Parts: sequence; C-alpha cells; structure tokens
Amino acid sequence: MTFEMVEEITIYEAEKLKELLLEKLDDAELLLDMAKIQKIDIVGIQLLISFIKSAEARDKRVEFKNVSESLYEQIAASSCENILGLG
Amino acid sequence: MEEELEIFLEDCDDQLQFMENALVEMQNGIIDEEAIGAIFRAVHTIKGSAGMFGFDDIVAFTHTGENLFDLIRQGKVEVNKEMIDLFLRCKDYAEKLVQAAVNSEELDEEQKRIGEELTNKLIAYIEGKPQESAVEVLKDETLDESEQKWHISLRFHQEFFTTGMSINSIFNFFNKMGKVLLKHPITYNIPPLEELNPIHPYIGFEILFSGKTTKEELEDVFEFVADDVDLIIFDVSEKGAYESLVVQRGEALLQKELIAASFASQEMFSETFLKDVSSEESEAEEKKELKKEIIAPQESLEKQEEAKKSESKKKSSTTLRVDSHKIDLLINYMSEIVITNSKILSLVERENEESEESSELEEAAYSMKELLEYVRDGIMDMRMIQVGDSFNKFRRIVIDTAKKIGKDVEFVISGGETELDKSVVERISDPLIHMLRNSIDHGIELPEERVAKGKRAKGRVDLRAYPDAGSIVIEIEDDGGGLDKERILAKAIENGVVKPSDKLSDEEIYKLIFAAGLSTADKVSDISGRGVGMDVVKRNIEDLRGSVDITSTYGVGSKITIRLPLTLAIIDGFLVQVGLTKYIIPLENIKECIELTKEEEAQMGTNEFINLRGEMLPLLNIRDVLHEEESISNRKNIVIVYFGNKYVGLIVDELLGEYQTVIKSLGEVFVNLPGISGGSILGSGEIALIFDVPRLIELKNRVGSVK
Repeated sequence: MTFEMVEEITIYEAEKLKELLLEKLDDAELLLDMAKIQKIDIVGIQLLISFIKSAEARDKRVEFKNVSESLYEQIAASSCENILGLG
Repeated sequence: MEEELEIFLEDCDDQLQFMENALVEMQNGIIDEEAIGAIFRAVHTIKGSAGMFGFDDIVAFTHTGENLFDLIRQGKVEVNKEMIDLFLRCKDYAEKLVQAAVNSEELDEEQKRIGEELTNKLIAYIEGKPQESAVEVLKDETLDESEQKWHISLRFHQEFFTTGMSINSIFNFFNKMGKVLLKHPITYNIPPLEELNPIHPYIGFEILFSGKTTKEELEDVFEFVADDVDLIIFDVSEKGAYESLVVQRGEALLQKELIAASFASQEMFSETFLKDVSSEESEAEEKKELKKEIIAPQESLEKQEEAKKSESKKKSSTTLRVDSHKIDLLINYMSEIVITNSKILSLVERENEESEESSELEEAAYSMKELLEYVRDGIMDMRMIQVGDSFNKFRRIVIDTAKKIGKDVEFVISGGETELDKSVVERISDPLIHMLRNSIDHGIELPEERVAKGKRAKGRVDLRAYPDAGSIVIEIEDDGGGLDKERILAKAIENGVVKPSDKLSDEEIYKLIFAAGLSTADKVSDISGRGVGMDVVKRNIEDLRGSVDITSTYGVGSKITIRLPLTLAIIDGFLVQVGLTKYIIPLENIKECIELTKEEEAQMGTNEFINLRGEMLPLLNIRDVLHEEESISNRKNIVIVYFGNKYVGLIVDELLGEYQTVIKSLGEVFVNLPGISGGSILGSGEIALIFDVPRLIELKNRVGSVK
C-alpha cells in the first residue's frame, strides 16, 4: 500500500511520524509517496533510516517515490541519498 | 532569540570592542604588533562565527578586512592615520551588519552603499601594497604549503538536535573554508523505529577535508555547539591516525565503514588491531577503555605542543574543557576508594575495641576519610552544571509549539544558575520538554478564550529551578485553564485506574494524569493528548530518585513540581539494622531519630502512629513491610524521614550511625522490591540495602488508605 507523507519531515513532526510509521510497518508493501514533502532535516533523515532498518528486520523493502529535486538535494547535503536508496 | 545567536552576538560585541580599543590606542600613536594582532584575531573570530551561521555578508566583509590585516601583520602594508579612521568606520559598519544578521533584517540602501565604499577602500589598500607581485607569489606558496588534509569525525550528544543548529550549515561552512573530499554518514548506531527516540541524534559523520586551515580553526567551527558534539579532528598523514580513531570511538563497525567509504585502506590497520576489533564486542568495549588510557599520554603530549604553539595566539582561558567520560571514570574509582576506606575504618575500630586506646593508625585513617570527602566533593562538583544552558534550549521548542497551535506564550526561565549533576540534567530534559508541551497544549488557552475569561491574551509558562533541602526543585507553572478534577476522575474511573468507591484527595486526583493510558484532552493533537508520555515522564523522574507533584486551581493554572537529588552516584547515609539486615537511609531525608520506649509502644497499641510533640506522626514498621526476622537486640528506634512536606517514622531496631556510601544497582530481579533503591557493600563486606524514602512514604500512604 502506498501512503502519502505530510509536507515536512523535521524535528517538529518526528514524534508523530514515528508513531505513524510504526503502524505502517505491518503493511505488506512499504511504498512512500514523497510528492508533497517540501522539507526534510537531519532528524527526518534519521527517522527514515530507522524506518528502513525496522522494515529490513521484517524482510521488507522500503521504496520512496516522487522525490523532488529539492528534496533530493536536502538529503544529499548530508550524503544520505544512498542509504535511503535514492542514489 | 536563540541561545546560539545570543552567544554569537555577545561574542561579536566583545571582539568589536577589542578592536575598537586597539584602534584607539593606535590613534594615540601606539602601533605595535600586539595591537595589530588583537585586531586581526578579532576580525578573524567574527568571520569564523558568522560563517557558522551562514551570514555571508559578514563573512565577505570581514574576509577583506582580514586580508588587509594579514598584510599589515606581515609588514607588507604600513598603517597610517587614514587607515585607522577607515578601520574605525569598518568596525561601526561590522556592528550594523551583525545586528542586521541577528535580527534577520536587510541593510538599507544607504548602509549597503557605505559597505561597498568601505570594501573598495580596503581593497585599494590591499592592491596598493608596495611589493604587489611578491605578495601574490607568497600567497600561492602558502597555499601549497599549508594545504592540509584533515579528518573530522563527528558524533552528537543527546541534546544536539534541540539546539536548533543545522548540520547543513556546518557542512556549508566547511565548503567555504576548503574542500570536503569525502563525507560519509555513520548510521549503524541508529536503532530500529521501535527503539528510536526521534529527537536524539544517533547518526554521525566522517569527513575528509582539505584546506589551508589549522586544527584550531576547524574546531572553532563547532564553538557554538561544542558541548553538544563529540569531535575528533586529526591530520590524516599522522601514522596510525585511523587506527586510533577506531579505538577512540569504540565502535566495532567503524573500521569496516572507513575502509568501505575509502577514507582508509586495510593496510592502515595493523594485523593485531584487526583481531582486536573483530573479537567479541564486549571485549572490544573493555579494550577501548584500556587503549584509551594508553593513548592518553601521547595525546596529551600532542595537546601540550599545540598549546605551546597557540599560546602566543590565544588569550589564556580560565576554564578547562574535560571529557565527561574522564570524570565518570574518576567517580568510579572514587567510589571504590570510599568502600575500601570504610573497610579500613571498620578494621581500625575493631582493633581499638581490644586496646581501648586510639592509635596512630586510627588517626591516620580518619584524616584519610576527611581528605577523601574533600576529593569526592571536588569531583562531584566538576560534574555539576548550571541548568540554565539546558533550559534555554527549550525556548525554541516552547515558542514553536505555541505558534503551531495558534497560542501566544511568554516563556520565563528563572534559577538558571542552579547546579545539578550533568547526567541528571541530561536525563531530565526529555521529561521537561514533554511537560512543557503539555502545559502549552492543554494548559494555556487560546488567546480569544483567555480574553473572554478576563485574562491577558498572552499566556505565561514559568520554568524555575532552585535548591531545597538537599535536593533540587524544578517547577513548571502555567496560568492556563488548570486541571479539571471531575474530568480526570471520570476518565480514570472509565479506564479502570480507580474505583468509583475510592475516596481520593485533590492531590491524588491530579496525580492520576501520570497513570498510563489517561488523556483527558478533548482532541488528540499532534503535540500531546495520546495518553502515552506522562506515565513515562513520571517513571523517568523516579528513575532519577526524584518525585513529581501537581497542584492546580481550575481556571487559574497548574504547577508541576519536580524534586531531584543533587547527584546519583554517592550518598551520605545513616546505617540502621532491622532483624539481621542492614539498611541505609539517605541522610538528606532524615529529620531526627528517637527511641521508641516500652511505654510509648504500650500507649501506641495497634495504632500505626504516635504523638510526637503534639503532632501525629504516621509510622511504618520496616519489620512488617520487608518481612524481617525478630530483633536481636530488643531495642526499637524511630527514624523520622521526610520528603517534600510529608513525614513518616520508620521503626527499626538498631541505629548504627552515619555512613558514606556508593549506590550500586541491585539488578532487574529486585526492581519491584518496595522502597529499596539500591544496595551497597559495607566495609565489612556485608551488603546493605538503601531505602528509597519517597517510595516508602508513598507506600505508607497506600497502606494507610487501604486501612
């Protein structure tokens, strides 16, 4: 199942997003639609990496779709694009 | 204003003042190396800090000034009266730039024009230098000579994310100072989602940087977050540098990662080293400790050399930054010494019982005890930090949270100078953030609601700290709606936390908000209201041997009072005996000791209280509570303990006297033992259990209410 993420993945949303992502972990397919995301910070990137780890522990793969150029750049600024499978 | 920006502003003010003083001296004809050096350093420092915050205008302007001063310093350009006037004007302009940057304002056209004019004049002096070409050549040379490769290894302390400092601005600044050749995120410390605290940093970075900077200049980049980062910077050409990085980090996976990301090659690690790291992780942990110690002397030598080099450059400082790990280690050793010394004392006492004469040994042992107390207090004092720094970090969270939900809140911090053990400050920070958010979300009403109630539209949240009777009190007070007793009670009954027949005091009802699964918010918001959290908050505080209380007046506001011990590692205790077991009561909780005479006991009968100077004192018989054997001495004493404003008399057998002791955890098996917070090994080798007075008092209240 695809699910849409909110507009920002930053320190302010981190707690809420963690709960949300925890619930999603049980889904069969982990496809995250990033179309609406404008902004991500290091807290958000860390959260997504953690999400990927939890998914891998369940033998699932996380995929991101519709990653905008600006979002990619924000992630690449911390050199985390490969870890998130965007490289 | 954010704390970091405030520091930046203060720092710039200081530097500009230095600069002005030096310039005024120059005007009076005192042009010496010292004055020129002072100005150069001031300009350089401002440039560095401005770069950290991405204030490009300041960086560009100060960069030009720095270049000119570098030439003056080298004697390539001579200072004249005109130039000094120009510098004074530059100083004024820089002040305006800093102000504008801090307030995120734009300069007006007039100011911009002045800036351009000043820059052009500075450049004119740089270009008008007598040996034009010679300097160009020199510049190229220095570029080749001082271009150096540095490795920067970056980890973050728990608080880093909440400082609001962006990692990207640090990376950007590196890009300005030189070239980032490699940048690799370290992610193996990030736990899976279930164990993740999203606002704690687990990520780290390894960076290979090339530029004509010194190690100090690179360290300066982190000046504003120095307390919140764990930084290792080294010259990559040093032999064994990467090996020592892996050892210092103590991360078993780091070596592989460094090789995979092509920072280092397999050959850089010796064969024996590979074995070390690939062996069991726990073993590696132990070795890390050992190796750290071995490396330390070498490191300190390097540091000394560095210090010598920078002596002429930097002003001497009266503070010393020490890795908190080193202090923890000292405390550990100190704890062992305290135990060993207790043993010596008890041996000496036993000896004396036979000879009945105080020996020299006894004297020596006692003065040793006294000296150890000084050392202990000294070490403990090093760990004490002011809570203000940590509190100031909450400002942004509070203001942002309020803004997000359309509330207007004034956040007032007082008692920031109160000192508390560093580890306590770190561990209390998350619970405090949670409670502050709660206060804003549930406590403070929306502006229109407040006005309708006749209150000021702007709500107020106070965060206070002050010392009180051997503990530290932290209060969060808001002038919001207050807690609704009826609603809390109704919800608690609905959730089965309490029975409808239970009779609860106001205080007990308020405390129900700390029960698991209780949220009285009408709407579940982003910020709070899921009913998870407050129980975790309470547990966190109790883990620190603290307590939390709430008072509230409906419609007027609420106050949460947290009481914390000053430190966690060592306590002054009072040793007592019940049956065959020895117990330690923290001295800070003891009010007085009295004997329970046979007459009083007879008078008491089956009542669990006595009349103490006209007041009722509830009693708790330790023998009954902890199922102890009969007394071996037939004596009975009451130790009156208190916590906050509650008193209880503990009935024990023997009073054995004061005892300084180290708290050791009893392990998970004993987690549910009521009223015991830990254990300690006595000098004789016996084990004594340490009472957790707040829990004992709670226990008494519970037992009491059942009856």
